Amino acid sequence: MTNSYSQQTYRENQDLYYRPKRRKISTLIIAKKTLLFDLFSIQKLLASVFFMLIVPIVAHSLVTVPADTSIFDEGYLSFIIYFYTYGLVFPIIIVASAGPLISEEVNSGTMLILVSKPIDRTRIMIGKFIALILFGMILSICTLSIISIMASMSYSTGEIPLFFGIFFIYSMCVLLFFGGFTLGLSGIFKKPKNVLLLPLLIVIFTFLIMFIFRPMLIMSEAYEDYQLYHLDIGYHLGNIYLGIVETFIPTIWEVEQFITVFAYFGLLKFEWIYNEQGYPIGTETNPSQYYPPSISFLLMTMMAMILLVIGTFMYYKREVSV
Amino acid sequence: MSMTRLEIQQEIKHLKERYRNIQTIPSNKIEIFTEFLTKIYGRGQRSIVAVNEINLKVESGVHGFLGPNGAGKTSTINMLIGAISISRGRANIRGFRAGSIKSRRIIGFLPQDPVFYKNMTGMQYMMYMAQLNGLAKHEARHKIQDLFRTLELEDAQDRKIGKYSGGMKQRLGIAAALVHEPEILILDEPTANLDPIGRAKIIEKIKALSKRMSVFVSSHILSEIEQMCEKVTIINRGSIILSDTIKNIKEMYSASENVFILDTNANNRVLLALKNKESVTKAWIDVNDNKIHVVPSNNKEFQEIIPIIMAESNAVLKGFFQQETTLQDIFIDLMERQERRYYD
Repeated sequence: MTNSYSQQTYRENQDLYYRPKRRKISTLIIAKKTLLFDLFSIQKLLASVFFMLIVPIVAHSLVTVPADTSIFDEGYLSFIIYFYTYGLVFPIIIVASAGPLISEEVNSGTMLILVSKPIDRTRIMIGKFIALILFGMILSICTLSIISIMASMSYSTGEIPLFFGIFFIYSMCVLLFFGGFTLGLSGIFKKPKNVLLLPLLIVIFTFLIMFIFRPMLIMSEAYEDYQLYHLDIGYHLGNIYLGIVETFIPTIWEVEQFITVFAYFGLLKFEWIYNEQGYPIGTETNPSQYYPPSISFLLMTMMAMILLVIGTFMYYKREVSV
Repeated sequence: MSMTRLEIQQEIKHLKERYRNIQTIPSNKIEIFTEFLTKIYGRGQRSIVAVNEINLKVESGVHGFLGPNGAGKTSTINMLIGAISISRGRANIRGFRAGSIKSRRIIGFLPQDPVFYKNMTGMQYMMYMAQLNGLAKHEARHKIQDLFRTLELEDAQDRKIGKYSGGMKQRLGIAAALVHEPEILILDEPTANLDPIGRAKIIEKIKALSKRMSVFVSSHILSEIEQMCEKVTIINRGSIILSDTIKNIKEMYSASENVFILDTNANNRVLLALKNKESVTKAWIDVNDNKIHVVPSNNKEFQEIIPIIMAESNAVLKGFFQQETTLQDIFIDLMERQERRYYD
């Protein structure tokens, strides 16, 4: 059978087949729909903010600090927000939100109608990623606003905007990593529960299991000897956070109360102090500096982006049917 | 008058702009064209051939795509819209590669059992669909209102889709497929899961739509296809077994198997008399209607001997007519023949 006719152009039918140029904003339309109908609801936002704030609020109400104390000198609130709010709850919310974005639509059958529309599948993926970033931003802004108001009652108010800014930037890094990672998996796996499994395990492993075992590995020097920090997401995230703080407060490494807790994330290493006879008389802590913070950021971002690209490719090739 | 280089460039630019959206089409009539279109699911020994080298030529008008469940109808349609990949062969929609953005721009698609975003209202959903097809908000709103009016969804436009009935959802699906005024409408089992009234309404809508655009409709409900379509393609086990106009198919089958039905006050006596006649190939009393069914060898001769047989049998003729061959009869016959061939 020939296909010669398919090459013909029927100019006499130009009016019949002429179609106006279509607007190319489908990515933003998908982002808007995903944000408003899949990710965002007042109830969900309130519940998310509540879980992100409950521990910092309780902890804050239990501790009394002298008036006009610097929030960075007295480091416990920062650490709780770093560890609990942005280490555990925020990633879990992002993972749970990003996981079903592609897989659920494919599973439920709504994707079949979506892919029959004149939109490239890559645009669908990008649209969903934009929506996820916007959702994370809104969530982070709401949470940090409440924390900032709460903190301004106890700490010196001059540093609150800086505190807000540092955590907002850090939250965007967490969002980029966990959001990209999970959305990538959502494009790869068919079942939403399979998508959620790996990122949730990473969160639990990084911020709970390794939080217990990492100090042991550090003290036994296995952490450094076997170069475990290369694969330690907790270390890289901590490195990014301290990198951001250091950018705005270059003297932060001198604030012992703020820095010491980061030993739990491999950011400090213990070194023995020897006397003149060569006997150990104590330890001192120094920055581990395995990686510059910018490289940690690049590694995390690249990891998420690679997975996102693989996920987009897999989704592009995926058979969509009910 | 000679043109300067700049003028020529401007003219080319102008022409490119003018003809940018004029499409290359296969012919005035051929809307969907497939060549050895094949879909294989899985790999190796576990692979299943869902669609096997089908050559489809869908011309303008309403074209039915018939087949039993699992025949490969939905797989074929999903390949045409680009939801699933083509394993072998090719498919074009008005000359554009099936599944390409350009081909998707000219089709409207209603899937089998369409699924909607339950937390959206009808209007929000339609607006989303319209915008995805490149329509501006103000333009879309106008068209959606029209469609809601036509499809009797006006009162439900601000209601969440989760609260729609099955029929309303089906109509909403059709509205969503029509919002960008497609040139070809692809409907996969549009009346599935609907009650008889809902079915009748949808059939009416499709018939009305067929005046404005080409419709490719798949179904396994033959009476509906018969009402809607001029041409049908019958598919079974992934292969096309027949493709022609309904009129031609019926003529073809009526010629090969033409049954007359007689009803008398003495059917047994008449049957005996009929069996001795040369112009009768086969005669029997059907258990379903208790009437005499006759397959004559010659129609004219058979009709001439009827009064003679009545006189011979001393019977009174109560009814005599030629059984009309329905698409369903043909379809069942075709399926049975194919199944026999398959198992032989």
